[in-house]
Amino acid sequence: MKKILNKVFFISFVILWGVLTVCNLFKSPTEFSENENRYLAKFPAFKIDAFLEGVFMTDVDIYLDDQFLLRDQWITVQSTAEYSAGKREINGVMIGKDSLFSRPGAVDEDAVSDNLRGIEAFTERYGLPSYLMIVPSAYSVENDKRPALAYDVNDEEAIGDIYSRASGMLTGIDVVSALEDHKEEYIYYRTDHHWTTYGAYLAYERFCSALGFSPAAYSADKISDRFNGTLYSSSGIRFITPDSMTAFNTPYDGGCEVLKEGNWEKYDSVYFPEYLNRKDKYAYFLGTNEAAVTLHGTAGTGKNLLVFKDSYSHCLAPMLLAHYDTVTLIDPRYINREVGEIVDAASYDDVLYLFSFSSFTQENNLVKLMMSAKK
Amino acid sequence: MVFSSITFLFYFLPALFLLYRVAPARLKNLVMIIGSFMFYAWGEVRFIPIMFLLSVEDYVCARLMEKHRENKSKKRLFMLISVLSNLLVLVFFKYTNFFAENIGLLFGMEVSLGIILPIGVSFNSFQSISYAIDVYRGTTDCEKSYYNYLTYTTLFPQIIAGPIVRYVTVENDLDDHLMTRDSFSRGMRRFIIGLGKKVLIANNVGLLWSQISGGQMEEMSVLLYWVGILAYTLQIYFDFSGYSDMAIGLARVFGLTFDENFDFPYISKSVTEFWRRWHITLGRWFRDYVYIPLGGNRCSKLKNLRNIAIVWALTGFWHGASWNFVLWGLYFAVLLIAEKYLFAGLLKKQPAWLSHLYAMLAVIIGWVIFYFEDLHQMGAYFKGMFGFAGVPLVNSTAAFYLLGYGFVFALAIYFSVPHFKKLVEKAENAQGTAAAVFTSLAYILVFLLCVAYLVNSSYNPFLYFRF
Repeated sequence: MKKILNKVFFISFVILWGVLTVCNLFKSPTEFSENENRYLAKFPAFKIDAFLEGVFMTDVDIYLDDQFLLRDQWITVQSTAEYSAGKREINGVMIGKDSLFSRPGAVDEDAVSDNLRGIEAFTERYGLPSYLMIVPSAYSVENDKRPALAYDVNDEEAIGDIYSRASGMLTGIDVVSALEDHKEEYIYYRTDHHWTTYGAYLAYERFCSALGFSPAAYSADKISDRFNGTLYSSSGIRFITPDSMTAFNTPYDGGCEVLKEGNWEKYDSVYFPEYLNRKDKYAYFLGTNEAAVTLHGTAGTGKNLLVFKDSYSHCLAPMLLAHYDTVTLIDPRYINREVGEIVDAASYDDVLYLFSFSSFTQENNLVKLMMSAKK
Repeated sequence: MVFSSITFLFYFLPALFLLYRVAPARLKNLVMIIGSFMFYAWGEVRFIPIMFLLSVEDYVCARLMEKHRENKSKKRLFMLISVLSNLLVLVFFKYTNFFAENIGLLFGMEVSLGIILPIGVSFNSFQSISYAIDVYRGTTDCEKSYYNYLTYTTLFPQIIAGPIVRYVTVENDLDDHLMTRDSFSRGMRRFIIGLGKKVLIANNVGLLWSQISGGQMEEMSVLLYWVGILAYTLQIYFDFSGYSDMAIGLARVFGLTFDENFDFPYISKSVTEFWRRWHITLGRWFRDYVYIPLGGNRCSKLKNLRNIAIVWALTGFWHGASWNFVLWGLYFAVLLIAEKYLFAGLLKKQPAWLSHLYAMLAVIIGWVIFYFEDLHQMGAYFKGMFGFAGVPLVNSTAAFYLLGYGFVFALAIYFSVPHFKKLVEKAENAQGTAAAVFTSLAYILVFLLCVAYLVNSSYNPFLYFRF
């Protein structure tokens, strides 16, 4: 009687296993995973040292894992199984009510102090009026969309604390209340860690009132309604409604220049429609992350703005062209020189530091501004 | 190489099975040997020459013991050569760092030799020692063929993390072990159970444990400390017993029978019972080659106490070259002595749930000692568990993770009791094609789910790799 099971199992398992093995063997390698936004591993070159240390074998393992057939499908199966088993946190992503969130990390006090020291050094060197805008996380603001029983995090207090520590050298711009007042609206993407263009507009209004500008009216066009962002990728969760994206209409778009490998490359617009056909649609705003981008405005205000930022600023920057002829964005992650060597820092009228809560409180990239310290 | 990897499941294993199947009878063991060396070399190339030399030496010593079976002193000499050289290799690779560090500390110096422990040495040396002593005692014949001996000592299913397979359990099969449709089916089903335990449960709850023990939680609570150590308790059992299941299953595919290594340890009602059910092949090894030669319990009470203390200090130390493992071993020595001499009668009189609670609590506290090599961290974790860390009793984080992991916890607890085994046996013995199709599908589903988890996850550490 046991023979029946052995026979049935043998036939079914060997066929399935054999087909998988053989198909996988003859599958041609994939170079790039759009979904993960990274190049997949290549077969490692054989080196005797690497072989003796076992590094070669580890690399082969990584290659075979990366190149296994139906990679994206297996990952979806895994995430679906995890979700069905009740997990609401997968791979650092919290799965809420039709919305995904980055799992909030703890504030790194050292990183905050480093960043403030960098800002202080830069302010002392150039003496420009400065503004700091820290954007609270979606997890903090959209507290009613979190998964059930998820712990409470509120960025407001920590942001207020940083603002008061920096009050001697700059003006903090409170955007927490602006976003919280509109939290029922579409201010953060469901599948991506960024804010929406509308969320950015709410912050822009606060920026204007801090500087005494009258903000441009909100006017934005839909550019895509099939955006599946970074959280979609890292969670593997596939049932969240894809995001729709809008871009702010600015009449002052005078193109931009992007610093790539030491050269400034010119573009006709601050928007990059070619990215709408790709996975990473957020790159519609100012393209991919680069060390420095200068936006040119045609409003003729005669003023220039320097922004130290992360990618949250990308959808907001075009709004600023109503008030500045030049808006230069510098991403401290990618610079390793004194800012004065990249742009003529003294030619700017205002400086804005614009960061998401997690990058300002967990990464210390602004410490690089210490290179501007007076010797 | 680890069993739970794409490399193993979709390259190594199918190739080995195919080659083994088509190889003529005489060459089958050669296929096994080459396969085993490749399997081992994948994780540890540099130890292979030593492993090879040791196998020659152990084989020769055993043959010489047999040749001089009438000459007791010569026989003893060859046994000692074999045992001591294995011990030397083990001590050198595993404990030199530890001794150097501690001696250095005595003189206020920081010493770090950076000797790397090759994978599986702890298991391998114990296996070879058991062979030498068994031949010496005459409880097993010596293997005449080096070819067979090498097959035995390198058998890839057990080479990395056991079980400790004594020569006597496989000696009759080494000449002609066959892969048949039945052995393949039965072995692979057992393998899939082990794979599922490792990939679907151990890795899963292990993730929670690494978050909690790694201090990644926003806010701790007493409950969360307990949830964490419960996760680790389940992780270590499913990791290790899953590994043993996979090893036993793979051996079975090739027509070899390994001894069972776990017998539902978490249903124990005393620590004594726990150690009869946990890592059985290791417990037996210490009993036969250390405890009984020391006099076991057939001696004075005082000597017996000494013997228990020695055996358990060594058992602890075998698990890792760090003080916490010694502490862990001695902790169990105290409990075992207490159970034996102080409250043996008392334990029996308690209702089952109470003695079960006691045993599990003792084991769980043991895992805290086992996990934290840093004594300060260990102390801090104990404080947290018993409410001295100044954190609330319960918080929403604990509730959130209990909700998220509740299902996996429930499954894991169910798989930790014998009812699960009965279910498997029932499915295995069910008659009729429909039942066979259903059972096969269930196994295949588990296998596919494991593949999905493996593809997804770079999180795939084998806990028992450091042994």
